This record gives sequence, structure tokens and C-alpha cells, in this order.
Amino acid sequence: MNVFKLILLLFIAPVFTWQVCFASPQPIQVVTTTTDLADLAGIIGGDKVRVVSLSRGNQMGCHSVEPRPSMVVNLSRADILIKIGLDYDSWVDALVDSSRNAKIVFDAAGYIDASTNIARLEVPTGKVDASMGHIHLYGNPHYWLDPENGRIIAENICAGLVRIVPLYSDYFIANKEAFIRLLAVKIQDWKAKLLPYKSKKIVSYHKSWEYFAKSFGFDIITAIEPKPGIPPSPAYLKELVAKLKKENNLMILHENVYPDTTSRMIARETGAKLLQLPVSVGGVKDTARDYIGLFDHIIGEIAKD
Amino acid sequence: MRKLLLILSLFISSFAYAQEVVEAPAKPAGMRGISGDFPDISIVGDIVGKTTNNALDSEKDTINLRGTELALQGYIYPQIKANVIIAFHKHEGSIEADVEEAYANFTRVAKALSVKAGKMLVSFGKVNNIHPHHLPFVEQPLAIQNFFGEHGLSLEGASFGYLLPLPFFAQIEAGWGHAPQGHSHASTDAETADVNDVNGDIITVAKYEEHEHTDFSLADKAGTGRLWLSFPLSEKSELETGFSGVIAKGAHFEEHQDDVRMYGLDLTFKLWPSTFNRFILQNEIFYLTRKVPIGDIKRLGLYSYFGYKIDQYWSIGLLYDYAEDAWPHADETGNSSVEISSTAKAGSCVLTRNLTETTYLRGQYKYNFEPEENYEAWLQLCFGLGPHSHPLE
Repeated sequence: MNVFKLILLLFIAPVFTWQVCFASPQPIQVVTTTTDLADLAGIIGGDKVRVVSLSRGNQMGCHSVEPRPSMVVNLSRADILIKIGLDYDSWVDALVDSSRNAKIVFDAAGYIDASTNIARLEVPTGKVDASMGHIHLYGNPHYWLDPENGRIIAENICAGLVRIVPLYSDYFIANKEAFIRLLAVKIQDWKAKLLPYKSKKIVSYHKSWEYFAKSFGFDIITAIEPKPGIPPSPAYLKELVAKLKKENNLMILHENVYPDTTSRMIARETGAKLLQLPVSVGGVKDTARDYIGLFDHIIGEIAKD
Repeated sequence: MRKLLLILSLFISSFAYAQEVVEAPAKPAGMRGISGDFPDISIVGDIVGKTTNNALDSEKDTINLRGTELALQGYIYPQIKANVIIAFHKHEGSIEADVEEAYANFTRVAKALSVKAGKMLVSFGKVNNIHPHHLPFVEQPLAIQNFFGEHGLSLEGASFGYLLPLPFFAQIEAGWGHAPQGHSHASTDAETADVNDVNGDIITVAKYEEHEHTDFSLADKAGTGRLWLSFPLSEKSELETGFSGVIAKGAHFEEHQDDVRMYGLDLTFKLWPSTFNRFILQNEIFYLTRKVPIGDIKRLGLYSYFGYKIDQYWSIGLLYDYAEDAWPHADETGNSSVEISSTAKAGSCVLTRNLTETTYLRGQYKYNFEPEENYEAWLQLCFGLGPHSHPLE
């Protein structure tokens, strides 16, 4: 061995030793469009992933998320993009183009549409246009508010992670199974808690609670918005109040992302119970910090006498 | 040596699992857009009613269909998108059709690199490449109108965009091609005058008073560039800045033989205090130079816009405009100099009611302080039909 080789070996050996003994692979970069997906990705991916949500918990789909250049930076580094899908978060498409990241475009291995295999509600049939308000072509997109769908979302995320890093498939599957077991227990608990309140008639502000109501057996009698995304006119409100006054046992589920003036007025006029509820993880401070916590908070509020 | 190679190969292989051979991934699923092999087709209509106390304004007390935009957008090949915008706009009383943009966008040529080819609005500052219906005010800032013409600066050619590998958003864009001339206002029988050039020689040029009330715009071969930076200051705020430049000829190059350089600096602060509220403070400054036989014309333009989104539906804005004209000064005898002929200063307030993401009603009141003191007021209805998208703005 000549001197050159010896010097080279002396340089390489410490680096190699450090690599083998201490360095861990870079975590998989996961970007999600919502905080709900971010929480589930974090649960399943564990310490193998680094998750960033592009929106905050008090934002709601295309109505309030404004694409920002800083989001492009996150997407440019992403190995995986997880979307709600059903055109709920189509605002992210221009950002994906700007990121020039081929790993996360539609149809790429790193593209996860969490709505896959969801039993969709309110899928429009026939012609759809703006006379119907802000209608989503593929149906009502607020499916994560049915905790049973949490299991399907977890399956989709897990499949995507396994597709990208099959090396950790056992780890991801174990995390997913643990989450699904916990969720099943919680669902039983939540259903038991809500049983005494099932006779309540729900009035929602926006059409966000259809999946939730179906899951827990509630009846949504109307929405305060006359059509999705269309604010109520005074004449419509007058009619609505008159109609609701004939009902009893009313409960207004008001998504706390929207101004509450109208819901408060209706509650005052009709004697309905008004609940201002988050629709996503992080939608209220202190509670609803994760997907399970979101339902703990919502159900806790409904069950509060 | 073999041992050394072995160690090296172990060293390299220890870096990442990502290079391991893995099974072919299962195909991801999902839905988006409209089913069927159609591009996204949309129409935007822009109807404007105007009143003013300027008796010479031809649009005084009129309601006009200012423009209609037909957009066809979609993929033409994996990772290649086409974007075609046909604009029908009113010019001197008649409707004219124009290909506002038509380009293929190679969205991922290489890592972080995209290329566009065709005709496109140039990414110069924050508003030049925004279609009129997507602006937060009724018309482009005066500086853009004075320096780039009524329809902004576009380029027929190619451009690339590269996302720099930095921890914050940093994008460099550059383009090369031909700046299509806007509406020609040059007289075919232009009067000429003999003037002294910078060397004291007598030369014959067209009289500049021909253009006192006409658009200046860029033309001929053009090179453009922009560096766009953005820094998130907090979870709820972002600061953007950009530096832009363009080299071209004036649209009346044949008459005036001018080389044009223009530079721009923009600074935008955005704050989202709650779900539907947003503050924006956006400022741009433009510096135009034209080399003409009688010397160098140097002009300044700027605007400052403050906007507040009150809720999901309503927003208000205040706009201040300052723009020097792009032309040389001509005195009554036809003698020209590089002095400023006129400066426009105006202040506007804007109120917008969004009906949907693509349809809104807008009122704007503008008070012109200079060159003539008068007011203009618009009521605008802008509607959109069909799926319509814009690049990141």
C-alpha cells in the first residue's frame, strides 16, 4: 500500500464508519393539502416521514387557501403529495406545476388521492353548473368528517408510503393497523356518546356535515346557505326562520371557519342550539390537535348539555 | 486497489435506500377535472360601465363589452401543457380578435426546470402577466400602460423558469424572442423634422407630436429576465420581491430608431390574519430608458396598492399611480427634447364583491391629479364560465 492509498483510506474510513453507525436515511418528505391528512400521514409514517400541511386547520378548501410561493418550496422537495381529491383542493395543481417535481404529479407514484375507495355522497347526476352553487363534480368532498372514512384514508396513505419505500412496509402497515384499531374503539365510544342526541335535527351552515351525519345517524334538515357557497339573502333567511320555527330539537352545526352572524341570528330566533365546530385538525386551539382529537372535540360539544 | 474499490462501493451504497431496486409501484388512483378527452374550456366576459367629467373621453357615460377571453387549457403530452387564450377586445369602437397567449409549457424538462414556447405574457413584475379579469383593479396600473402599451408586454419566443435550490422560494426566469407590436398608431405619412443628434449632426426624424395620445410599446427582438424571491415571515405572512428587466426596441423603431431597456423592482407583503381576511401591500417601480437620436429618454413609473379582503365575498383596495410618459417632449415648433412631456398621477379606491371564484362585481373611483384634474368611475362585471386556471401569481 503506497502513501496515497493510505491517506485516501484514512479520509474515507471515518466517513464510512459514521455513515454505517450514525447516519440514518433522510426522512420521506410528505406534503399534504390539509391538516387532517398531515396528522394521518404522521401517524402511519412515524419517524420515517417529515410531514408538512399546506393549509391550516382554520382554512377550508379552495374557498380560503391562497397559493403562496413558499408552498412551492415544500412541494419541490416532496416525495409524496397527499390530496383530499374530489376537486376540493385543486388549488394545489398550479403549485405542483411551479414545483416542477415529477414525483408528485397526477399518476406518479408519489401522488396520493385520499378519496380513493370512499363511498361518495351527493354525487351530481346530469348537468352541473353555477346555478347550483359551488357544486363539486365528484360529490361532496368533506368525507374525512366520517371517522369510518378515516380507515380508508389511512389505507390510501399507507399504500402510497409502501409504494414509495417498500423497505419500511412492515413498519407502515403496523402503524396503520394500530391506528385503525384505536379508531374502531373510539368510533364505538363516540356512537355511544351521541346515542341520546340522535333525535336532534341538524341545520348546517355549509354542506360539510353530510358524512358526519350519515355516520352517526343524524338527520340534516337544511343548510343555511341556500346553495353551496352562496350566502343567504334576507328574503331566504326570513323564509328559513319561519320554517325552522315549526321544528323543535334543532341543533345548528356552524363550521367555525365562516362568520357566525347569520347562524347566531337563526339560533336566537328559533331557539336552536348553536355549536361552532372545527372541520379540520387544528381548527380550534388546544383541542382537536389530531384526527382523533377532532372528533373528541366535535362529539364532546354535541354531547354537552 | 480492489480493497479500496470495495470500500468505496460500500460507502456509496450506504447513502440511500432510494437507489435500491424496488418492485414496480402500484398505480395511484384519483379523480380530477372533467371526465372525457376535452381540454378545459372557459369564457371570461368583461363588461365595464364608465363615467367621467372629462368631456373628451370617448367612453364617457357608456357601457361596453371591454373584452372577452376564450381559454383552452390542458395536457397535450405527459408533462406538456398547452394554454391558448384568444382575446376579443374593443379597440377604437370595433371588436378585434387577438391571440393573447398560445404556448406549450414543458412543465418538467429537468429537475426544477420548465420551458415555454409560443406567445406568452412576460413575467415582468407582479401584474404584467396577469390577465385583465384577474387584476384587483379595473385597469392595469398607468406605468404598465405607458411603458408596455394597453395590453402589456408579451413575447413570441421561448422562456425558461428555474427553481433555485435554496431554502426559500427563488425562481429565475428568462425569455428570448420577438415582442409583438401592439396597435400601430404610426402615421403612414408622418411629418418629419431635422434635428441635431448627440454628435451635433443634423438628422431627419418623424415628429413626435404624432404620438402624443398613443400607446408606446415594445417590439422587435426582445430579451426578458426576472428573479422572483419569496420569504415566509410567519405562518400567516409572506414577503415577496422581484427584479425584472427587458431589452427590446420601441414599437415605432422604424421611425425613431430607439433601443429600449426597462427595469422593474417589486415588493409585496401579504398577511392572512384569519380564514378569509387578507391584507396585501404591493409596490412596483419601473425605470424605462430609450436611446433615441436626440439623446436618452429616462422615465419612471410606479404604483402602490393596498388591499384588504374583508370576508369571503368583499374586498376593498386603494391604488396610487405615478407614470411619466414614454415619449420625448415636443414643443410647438416641432423641436424635440428628452424632457418629460407629461406625468400622470392618480389615486383610486376599489370595492369588489365576489359572487364566485370567477365572477365578480367591482366599482372603482379614480381621481386623476395630473396631467389633467378629473375623475373616472367604473362599474365592472366580470364573469367566468367553465374551468379556468392561472399560473402562480
